Amino acid sequence: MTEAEAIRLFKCLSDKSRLQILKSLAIEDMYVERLAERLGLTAPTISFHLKKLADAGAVTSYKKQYYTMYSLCRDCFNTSLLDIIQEESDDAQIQSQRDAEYRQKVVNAFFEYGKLKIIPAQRKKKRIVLEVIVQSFEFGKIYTEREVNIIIADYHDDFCTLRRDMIVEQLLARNKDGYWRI
Amino acid sequence: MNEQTQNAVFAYLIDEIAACQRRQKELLADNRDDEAKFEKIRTNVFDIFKTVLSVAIRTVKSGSSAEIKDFFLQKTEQIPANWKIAYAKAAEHGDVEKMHYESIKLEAIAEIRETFETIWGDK
Repeated sequence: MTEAEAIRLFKCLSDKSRLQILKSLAIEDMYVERLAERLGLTAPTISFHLKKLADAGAVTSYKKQYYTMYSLCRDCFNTSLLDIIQEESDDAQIQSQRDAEYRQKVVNAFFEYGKLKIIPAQRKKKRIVLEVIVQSFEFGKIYTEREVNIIIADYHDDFCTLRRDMIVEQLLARNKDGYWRI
Repeated sequence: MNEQTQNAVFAYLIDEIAACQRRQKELLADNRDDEAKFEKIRTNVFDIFKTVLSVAIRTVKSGSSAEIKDFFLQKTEQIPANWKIAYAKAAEHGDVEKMHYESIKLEAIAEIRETFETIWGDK
C-alpha cells in the first residue's frame, strides 16, 4: 500500500458510521437498504459512505439478482500498520506524488464532469488543463482546424483561445496541412 | 393574525435551525463528520429561507398576506432551480456524493414549503 493510499484509507476510516458499515460487512456481504436498517441511517447516507469506502479501496461491490451487494475488501485490511509505516518512499517518489496531487487538485477545480468550467489565468494551471485536453488528440494524426475546434469545443466554448494556447505551449504543432499532437 | 402567522413560520425555521445545529454538534462529537456536514447543509437552507421570509415581509409594502405568500413560494421555486440542475447533472455522471448533497437541500426545501403552506394556509 502506497503512502497516498494509506492516507486516503485512514481519512476514510476516521468516521464512526463508516467503521460501523465495515463492521457489518465483516459479518457478511450486504446491500444498501439492509445496512441502512441495521445502522439506523438513511439509504442515501449509506450510499454516500459506501462510495467513499469504495474509493479508498475498503469495499467492493457486485451484482446479485436485483441487489448491489457490498463486501469488505479483506486484502486491504490484511496489510499491517507496521507494513505501512515501514514502506519506503524516496524523495523522487514523494515529489512525483506531490506533483500528481497538485495536478489532480487543479483538474478537480477546473473541470466538472469532463467540461472545463473556466480557462485558468495562471500559466502553470493552464498548462495542466491543456495537457488534459490534448489527450483527446491521437499521436501521428493530422487534424484539420475544424476537427481541432470540434474536439476542444467538447471541453469549452472558447476553442480559439485554447487552440492557440496549445500551440504556444507546444502541445500541438501546425503547418499548412493541419495540426498534430507533439 | 398576519403577524401571528409570520411569527409561527419564523419560529418553525428558527427551531429547525437550532435542531440541525444541535444534531451537527452531536454528530461531530460522535466522530461522524460527514453526517455533521449534512446537518450544516440543512441549517444553511433553513437559514436562507428565514432571510427570504424577512425580505418578503419588508418588500411587500402593502403587508398583504397573499402577496407575502406568493413572494415566498416563488423563491422556493427559484432558489432550488440550480440545485435540481446540479442533482440531475450529478445523477447523469453517477456522482453519488454530489447527488446526496443536492438531495439534502431539495428535501429541506420541500419540508419548508410544505410547512409554510400548512401554517400560512389560504389566508
